[in-house]
Amino acid sequence: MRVRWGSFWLAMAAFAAMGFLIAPLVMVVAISFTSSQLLRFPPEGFSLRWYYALIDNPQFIEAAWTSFQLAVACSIVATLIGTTAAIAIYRYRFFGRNAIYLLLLSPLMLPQLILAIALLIYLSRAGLPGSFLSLLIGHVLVTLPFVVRLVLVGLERIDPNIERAAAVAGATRFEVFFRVTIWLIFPGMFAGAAFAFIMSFDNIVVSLFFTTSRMVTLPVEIYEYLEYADDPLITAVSSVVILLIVAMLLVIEKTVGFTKSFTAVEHG
Amino acid sequence: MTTHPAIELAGLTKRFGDVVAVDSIGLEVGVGELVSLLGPSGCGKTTTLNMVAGFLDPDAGDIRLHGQSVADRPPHKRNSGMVFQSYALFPHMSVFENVAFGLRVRRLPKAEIERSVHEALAMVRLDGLHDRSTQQLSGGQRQRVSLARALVYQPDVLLLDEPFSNLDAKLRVAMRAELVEIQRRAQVTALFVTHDQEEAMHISDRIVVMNAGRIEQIGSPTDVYRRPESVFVADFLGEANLVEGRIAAATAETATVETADGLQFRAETTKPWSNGDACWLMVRPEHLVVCADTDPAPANRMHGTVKSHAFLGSAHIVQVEAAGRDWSLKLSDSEWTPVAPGDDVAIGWNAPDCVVLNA
Amino acid sequence: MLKYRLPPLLVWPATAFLGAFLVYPLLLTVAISFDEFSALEGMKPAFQVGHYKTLLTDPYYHGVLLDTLRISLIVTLASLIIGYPLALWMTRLEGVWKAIAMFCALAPLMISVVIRSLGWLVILSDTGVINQLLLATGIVSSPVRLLYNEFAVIVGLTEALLPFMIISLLVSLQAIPNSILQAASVAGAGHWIVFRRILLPLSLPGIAAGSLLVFAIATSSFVTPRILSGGHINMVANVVVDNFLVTLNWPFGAAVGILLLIVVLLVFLLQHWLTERILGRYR
Repeated sequence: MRVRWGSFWLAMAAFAAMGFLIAPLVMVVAISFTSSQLLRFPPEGFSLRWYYALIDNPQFIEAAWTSFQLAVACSIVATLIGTTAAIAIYRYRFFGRNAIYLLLLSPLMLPQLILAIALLIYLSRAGLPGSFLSLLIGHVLVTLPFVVRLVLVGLERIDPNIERAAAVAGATRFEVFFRVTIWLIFPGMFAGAAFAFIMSFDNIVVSLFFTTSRMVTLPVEIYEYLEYADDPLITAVSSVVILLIVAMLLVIEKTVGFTKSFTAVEHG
Repeated sequence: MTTHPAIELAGLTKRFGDVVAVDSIGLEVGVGELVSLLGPSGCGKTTTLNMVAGFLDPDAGDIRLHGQSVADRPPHKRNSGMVFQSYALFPHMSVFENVAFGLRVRRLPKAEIERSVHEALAMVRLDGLHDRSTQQLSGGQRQRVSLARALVYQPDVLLLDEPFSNLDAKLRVAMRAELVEIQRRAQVTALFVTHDQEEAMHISDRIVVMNAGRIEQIGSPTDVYRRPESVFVADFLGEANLVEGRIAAATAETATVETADGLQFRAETTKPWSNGDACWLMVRPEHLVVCADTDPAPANRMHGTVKSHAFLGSAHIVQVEAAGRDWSLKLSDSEWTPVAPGDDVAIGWNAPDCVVLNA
Repeated sequence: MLKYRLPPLLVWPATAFLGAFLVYPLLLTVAISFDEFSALEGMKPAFQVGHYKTLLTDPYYHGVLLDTLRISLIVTLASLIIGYPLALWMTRLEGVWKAIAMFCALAPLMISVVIRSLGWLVILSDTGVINQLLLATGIVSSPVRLLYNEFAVIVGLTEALLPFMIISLLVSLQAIPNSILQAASVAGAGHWIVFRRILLPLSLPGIAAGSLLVFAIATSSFVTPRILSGGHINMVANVVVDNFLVTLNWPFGAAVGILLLIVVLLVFLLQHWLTERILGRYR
């Protein structure tokens, strides 16, 4: 029972804002089905020629494969170290707890660009400039806070009496953790892993500093393609990425709530 | 000039999807009257109040305040005051500013605002707290600020949406008396929504008992309690022993009710009954007594076995099994003669103390 | 029980990771920003503040700083103006519709800025949708230049950062109970007064948080400015990227980066202070 006021104009303004947000994505997807050579809206005719061209383009396919492997690896590493850290922060009171918590969340607050150049300086001194490993380190760095926050939110929502009930029923601390707790924080872990995957797959800021001529991620490949060419091929590859990410987000929304999770991360 | 009722609801209806939340209700509230809408959750009482306030548009029917239809007016043009269950104080304003809000939006002169706010705060006994932040107040104080805020601009009607249900039990009772006193002094017409029958009985001039979107009965607290018109009202207000049966004999003032297993009870009634009518007989636990066999009164009596006994301080609750069903008795401590589970007792009640209801 | 316990083993991997790949590299970056650099010899360890001096005195970098500041401010303001009605409207929705609106508002955030900038390239080009509309309606006779200028950068950045603003606003608007708005309405306040006297003051923390977040991210953006200005506009972050990837003057790039970092940290401190102050008034 909301107060109804200026409803009409408010709704108009809201729809305009929504249109503004979605317009570029709609544009990209629409143009990917054009039959012409031109990056122009409205698309001329309807064809899948640019999707066929995409399949025949080894650069994009290879970059996509690299990005996928990277995102999977990043998601696994970030979820492992992020979940363990979140559990420790939630369960124990120890010296430096607040400082460590702040450190864990700091990559969320600092510009990715700064994280990237700092890491570049350090890794090139350590003899590890552009490589899969350096990309992985960079991506884990920027996705870790998401996992930590989401698992923590999950932990905070657990009714402590559930674990007490298990303990009273005779379970040892280990059994309580592996038979009860882990299942309760699973949604948070899953959301964290999924977010880490998407953010790694999508990342350009960090990747730009660690890609080499032989090791290019998909966003960087698109970015560089934009520099010298403008044919609808790029909209086809972008549309595939959009489709993949929207599909993943829908899965997250259906299972653990993407919008809820994301709001929780940004306002911790 | 004819005087109009302060609030007039005519055929008021609200649907949410397929659910009829408020089903064509009609009600008139006189000027200065305090009327409660009482019923279980989901009965439509809050929906009705929200329509009077203007938060919801009725699907049919009309709302008139002092004879003027307000159904098309937004809430801020109805000159009503409202007190919410959650207090709904403005957290970014002091006590003074909260109360002054309605006067400021009415663009009254400063001096008048100052005077009216202090009067209103004095009325709710909060004078001296006007500088406080609302966060520093107790629940009872917050609700009084809320009351002052709603009354300060002398609204045509005061709407109260379960205003005391966030308060603890003792305070709730104290606030009832205070509300009645303030409402009398402010001479404001009030519509009070509650699910607490004791609260409604305590404060109301009249009670409107609602169920499933309809009005079951309108009457003074005494009326609805003593002379309920339906099984629902009898059951909802206080405790009731209810027996299903048929009319075996009826005169203008009395009726004899016969149950399926052949028991007969005599009751006084004002309604015309004919033989064979399906009906319910209702008798309150406090009207049942334990009696001696030699005693000629009461008129309706039977033998039974005590099943349980509980002492509640002011009264004893005794369950007696008689004539194949359980009877609940509420006996005051002063007239208590000890009985224990298993005892055989005679129980009964007087004909004027029971009510015959339509099935 | 011990008063100070050591951090449990569980927290060590993440802490060590961040120590090694965040804290130490940041210190190293600070150190390098004081190094000397020449095109021929590369970096030489030193301790001099020349890079910072250049950054703060050179007219070219002044221009870059001013451009960055101006663009970021406009982007912040624009996203506030566009985001507020949307966030407010979303608080009115319920159930499935709310979920759909939230999804539409937040999902674009998860799509790379490269792809979204590509969309804007198409919309804003001389033959793009907007110019087609302007030409067709006869408002202009030849295409208006919408691309490769500051306007394009502002549009692209606003769209990219709008979801952050919406989240912040939504969180604070949703915390306002509906009964408070109803109370104001019954007391005689029309839409405008409810907005001015109730909604606006109560959503100030969200406005502050969203604005500073958007501002901070805008100042450190370089992908969107690069694509949509076609390299014509350099924001501070572009200077950092160019120094690291093109001219390889890492010490100077590090100095610019550190300066940017300081600005961002100041902005977050300001936000913390502002929020405390605003919230403090209600206590």
